[in-house]
Amino acid sequence: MRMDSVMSSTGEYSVVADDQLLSLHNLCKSYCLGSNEIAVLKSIDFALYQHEMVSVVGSSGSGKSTLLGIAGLLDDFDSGTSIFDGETVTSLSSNRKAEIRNSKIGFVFQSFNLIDRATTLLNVEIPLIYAGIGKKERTKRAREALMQVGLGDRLAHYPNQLSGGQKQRVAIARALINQPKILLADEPTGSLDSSSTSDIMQILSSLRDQGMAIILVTHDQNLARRADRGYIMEDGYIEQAN
Amino acid sequence: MNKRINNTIRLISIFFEAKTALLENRTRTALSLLGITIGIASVSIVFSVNDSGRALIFKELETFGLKSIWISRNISQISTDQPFYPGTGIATEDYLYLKNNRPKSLRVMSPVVTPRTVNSVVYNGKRLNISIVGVDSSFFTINNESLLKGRFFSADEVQRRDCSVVLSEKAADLLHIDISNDTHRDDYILVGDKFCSLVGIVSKKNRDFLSSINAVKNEPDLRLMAPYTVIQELNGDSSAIGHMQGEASSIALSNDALHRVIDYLTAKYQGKYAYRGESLKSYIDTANNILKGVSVMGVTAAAISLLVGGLAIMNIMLISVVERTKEIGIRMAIGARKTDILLQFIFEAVLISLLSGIFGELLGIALIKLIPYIFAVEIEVSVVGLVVSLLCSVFIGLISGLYPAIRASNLTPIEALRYE
Repeated sequence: MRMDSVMSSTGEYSVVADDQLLSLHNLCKSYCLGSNEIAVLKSIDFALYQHEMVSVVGSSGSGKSTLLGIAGLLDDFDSGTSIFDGETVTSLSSNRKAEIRNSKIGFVFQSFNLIDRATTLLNVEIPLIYAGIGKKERTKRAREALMQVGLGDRLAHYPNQLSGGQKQRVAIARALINQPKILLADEPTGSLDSSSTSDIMQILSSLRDQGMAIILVTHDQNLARRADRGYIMEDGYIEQAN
Repeated sequence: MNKRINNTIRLISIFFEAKTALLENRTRTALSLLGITIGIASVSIVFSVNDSGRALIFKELETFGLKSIWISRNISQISTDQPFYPGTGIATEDYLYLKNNRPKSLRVMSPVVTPRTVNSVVYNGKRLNISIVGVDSSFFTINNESLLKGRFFSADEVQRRDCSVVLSEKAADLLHIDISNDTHRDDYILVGDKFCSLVGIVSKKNRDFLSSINAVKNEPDLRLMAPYTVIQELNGDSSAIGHMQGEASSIALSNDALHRVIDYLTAKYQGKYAYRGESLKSYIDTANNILKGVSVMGVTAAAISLLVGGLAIMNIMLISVVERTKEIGIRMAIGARKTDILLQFIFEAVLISLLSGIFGELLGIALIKLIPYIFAVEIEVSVVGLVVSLLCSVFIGLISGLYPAIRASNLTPIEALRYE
């Protein structure tokens, strides 16, 4: 593992391995609730390397979703450093963050987060719109992606015409359409029955086998066991599980 | 370069997506169209009424020659402590002097002499009461006469006192003169005791609108124009001229031309006569002011409905932003930049308002086509009005979409995503 030095936003040099995709160091975040400040992330250290699936397990309110939001450049934090694929996140413009989310990150959410008024095909196409890819190419790639998740015959359907498992497969197709480096999955099976759950986990496992780095946030120990490494979160603190 | 192409494609794609968002909520979109539709319809109508009104009024004013000026003795301005001097106050020598020494502001002039006793002509044994004027050959251009047949008489004929006359269309008709016949060489008209040859026939002048609002008198339909020298001979007075009609170099210079001619005459007769000068300038100014007034009222009414329409669109867009907060969050999560979100909502607002603009124009055109059935005027659709109102609607879309779009684009991804 080769080590590089990367200047962090605070001016310190942090050490980053060259196959490290994401590193959070001493990261803190709190929300203000009225006059009370509630710390949700307390001195978080976290790392994700290429080709690995990492699970983050914790009860609800433990801060795991907040962690995922920060990891996915959707949310800000108060202190500490986050280095994403060699770039120090705090120094990035909102446009650059959007670009990274578009090209390097795929999101899968518990509630699917599909756009209801768009067809399956358009839902999968949208990331390509923001990537500036032409209509023809978009349609072709979106169709292929949907075929890969077994929904080649549901292109013109709207999300409310699909089952939960199917919706999540559309979401996965959308997450993968731009060939991201990291897939961030926030309770991806939380709203699914057991057969759909095993389908989705099957897909995630095979993606990992193809070299995708995955963070799987879950409260289900059984699912967490399928990851290469695990973190446990409790009350804003994180530690590696063994 | 590549990036620019990508950005263009993105822009176009976002634009087309905006379209689908509108189709999603048809009823609401349709309702928000109303205000702008009515506003744009009024803008198109105001432009068209203004254009057509101007065209109508100026077409009729042109029958006088827009640059025409009239100079005559002002009898009503005789002061009691001065002896009364009889006469017209204008002599042939004055006309000839002014003709040869005309001020720069005066392009051309003609005397107008009316016969003292003769008020009818005889043709082919048929007598017709008619208004007779003696003029110079320049009168025809000054008075914007257009020939239906034959020719005007020439300056030479005027000088030689040839009795060559020009008749109005209606008079020729009543005298049963065959207009389709090519030559009128053998047609003799008896004017007083003079045998005159008919050389030309002029078209009727339409001043229906101006005379209907009492702005001007309609020129008599029955007219005969003869060389002023001939009419002076009939009058037995080769010097008196009733009034003069001239053409100024421009509408703006018509007052200057009037003053110079009147100043010359006043000086020449050492204040024995007072003169009246008239031009179309005041009519033209009045017409312009009235049209401007109509436009201001129309534009004000249109502006109010456009404002209301703009606010309706803004309201709809604000609701739409709130309703689609989650969607905005999703879009941001999968790579939409602030500007992408901004543009999406602005495009939607512009599309709504452009669509209302087009509906408004169609409504406007329909109403304009209906006007002739209600009022006795023909209104033409103004193309400039259509273009201006379409630009108006795009502009309103931009303005009213801006604030909701900024609100949408300023949402933070995570909060938008968590919004339920």
